[in-house]
Amino acid sequence: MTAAQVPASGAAPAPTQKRGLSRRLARDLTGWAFISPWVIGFIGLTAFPFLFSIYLSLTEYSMAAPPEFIGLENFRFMFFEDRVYWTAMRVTWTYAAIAVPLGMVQSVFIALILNQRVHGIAFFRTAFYVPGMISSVGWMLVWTYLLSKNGAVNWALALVGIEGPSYLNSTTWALPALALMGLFSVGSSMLIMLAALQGVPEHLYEAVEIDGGSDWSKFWNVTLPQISPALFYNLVMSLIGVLQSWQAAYLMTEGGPRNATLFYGLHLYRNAFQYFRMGYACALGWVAFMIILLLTGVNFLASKYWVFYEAD
Amino acid sequence: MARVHSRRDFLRAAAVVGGGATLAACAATPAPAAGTTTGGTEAQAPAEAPVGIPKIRYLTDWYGGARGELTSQFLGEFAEKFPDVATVSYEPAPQVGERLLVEFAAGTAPDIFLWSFTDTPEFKEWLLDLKPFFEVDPEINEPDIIRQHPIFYENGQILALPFQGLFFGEEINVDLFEQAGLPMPWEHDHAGDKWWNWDDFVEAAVAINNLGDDIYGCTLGNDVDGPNWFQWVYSNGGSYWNPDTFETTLASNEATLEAMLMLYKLMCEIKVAMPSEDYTVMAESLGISPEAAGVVGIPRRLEEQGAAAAEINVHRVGIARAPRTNSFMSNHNHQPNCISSKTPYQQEAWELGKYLASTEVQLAIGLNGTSQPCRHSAIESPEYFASQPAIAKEALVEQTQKGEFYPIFKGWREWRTEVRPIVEKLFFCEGDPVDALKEADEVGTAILKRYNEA
Repeated sequence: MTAAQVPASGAAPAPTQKRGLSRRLARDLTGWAFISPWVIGFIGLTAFPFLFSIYLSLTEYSMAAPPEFIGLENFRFMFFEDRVYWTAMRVTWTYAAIAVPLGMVQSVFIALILNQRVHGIAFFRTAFYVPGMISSVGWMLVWTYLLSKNGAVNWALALVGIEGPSYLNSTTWALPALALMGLFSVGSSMLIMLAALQGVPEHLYEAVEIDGGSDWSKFWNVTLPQISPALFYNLVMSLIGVLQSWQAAYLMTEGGPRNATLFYGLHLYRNAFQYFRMGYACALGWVAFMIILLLTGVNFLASKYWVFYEAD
Repeated sequence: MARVHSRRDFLRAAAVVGGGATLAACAATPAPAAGTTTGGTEAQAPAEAPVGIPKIRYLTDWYGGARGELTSQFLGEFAEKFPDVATVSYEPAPQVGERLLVEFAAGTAPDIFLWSFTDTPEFKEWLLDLKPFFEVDPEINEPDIIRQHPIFYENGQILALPFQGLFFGEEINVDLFEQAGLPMPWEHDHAGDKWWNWDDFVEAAVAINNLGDDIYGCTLGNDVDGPNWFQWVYSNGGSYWNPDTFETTLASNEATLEAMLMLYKLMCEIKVAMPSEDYTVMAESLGISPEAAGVVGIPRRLEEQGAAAAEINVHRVGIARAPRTNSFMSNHNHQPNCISSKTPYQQEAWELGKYLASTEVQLAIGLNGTSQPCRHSAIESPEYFASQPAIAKEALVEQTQKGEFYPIFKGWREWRTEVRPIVEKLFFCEGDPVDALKEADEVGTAILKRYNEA
């Protein structure tokens, strides 16, 4: 209702004003009704568990008995007594340090190749994207075979005279092997980079050519800055994904050998569903959330130095 | 003038149609006919029972393959023989433990379920005390039951009904024994004791290992709580922990240390055991066992190998006599059925559990080969003996009588998960074995004390 419609005397609104209120209310209620399934699901399945887990992180809760409040004991144990916590942190960050840069370089490289205008390029784009659509459990089991002592990887290396180890049973090679295996599903990030590449204006490349610039100059001075928003997006999403991943370790190595692939997520899972320490698992989850949140914030702050938006 | 329908009208109509379709889909579907349970991996809808006969839920990880078929067969037979007791909803689930955890927390626990004893300390109050049922029901003869894990008998209670028996021992590839010119385990004679001892075991492993580059003398596994390591330690009079002090005793118990070092010697000094790195997860997940690949001498166990086991001439026998005790202790790893303490159908669930523990069912399980019976009457029946190598029958009976279970205490899972990577140094022949075991004692003791000293 606008100011012009409010009666000066404060009397009950005129009938036209009431019809306006009813109509707006009806419209609002209709909108809420349409989005209510999502809202109910969000509150019940996301927001409530999210907030309830804060409480659980302050309790001892095995699911066999009600939660018992213990204050910050879970966090104290985590930082000062749980030796496996620091192992899991080290393994996860090492994995991220290998997997994220490699993944980003690979996605840019493949996108550059797929950005060519040649016959049959659609087939190759599809071929590179399809692995990302395959069930991860399926291809992890396949990779377990490929990385075994007598698997295909060692067979290929043997062709050039190299005797490969049993990767998943080696404390040296297990983690790098999982990181390299992760490059198999490059499809999504590659697609984003490809879309960004195709959005780079041609006249910028022409300008470099006119100035006598090389291909490398085009890439460094035009391509990279122009796709930097996509690079930033992939960096943030890759970091978040990698710091939460643990499925490969669960399926392929069970965190071994000798905790060499004990990811943070696996340590959390074990505490929740194998040791029945739900409260501690929630505490682990919240620490991971804060770390990822902090890291994402740092990424956003740093982005102003290297991400260039068209509007800038 | 015809009314022009707006986009809002269209959306309203779509919401009504969609909501109606959703409600129709959520409406109860007709149940299948009784006795149509199958060995699939999906939960079967309970059959529509006559009025007054309850439906009970049976959760088990016996699904798919021979075990799924057997379970369906048993439940079908139960329905035929006891039509007025209950109808059973067969709910196969690969991860029964995790599923039960969630169901108990949600208050939707099944009435009867296959249970892992490793979870019992934390969740004992979920299990119904069956002692009153045992006392009044003469059909389930308790002395006939091969001993379940002691944890089910604490405080005067009986918390489990036997179902699946596993008596680990040793398995020998008879062909390789003959090829190496070795006497069979039962052909030795040590002052009247016609059974092989530790020295005979080592001699056999060395001789078989020398048969070829692709043959290993023995397989020992790579788990500290794996059958081989465990039963050698306990056969030798050792123990993994001190139940009074909750101390881990891998290095501090003399008999335990002696047994661990014996196995370390086989693996890392004499080098006649399959290297640990060959125990790949994939090999087991694909069913490609070391045994099927032909690299077998004295394999660990073959329950899961199925068709592969049929290709080689393997017999299960008791393990050799340990040096300190001159005896052996077979690792027992039974899985019972338990009844929920919250079920309103206690008597009906008992009837089903009792049927699954009957000699008839236990014998069927044993003859199928997918597991072993939990009843003496089944193990010692003419039919079961006929399925076993003749000479190994005595050893089989002795195995059922001399058994040791994994020690169970609160924190067992964390103990196993955290101690294992340390003891793996032995399996991978890294560093000094005594130092590794001392480190394992330190870590394991800290875990046990944290869980058990309130």
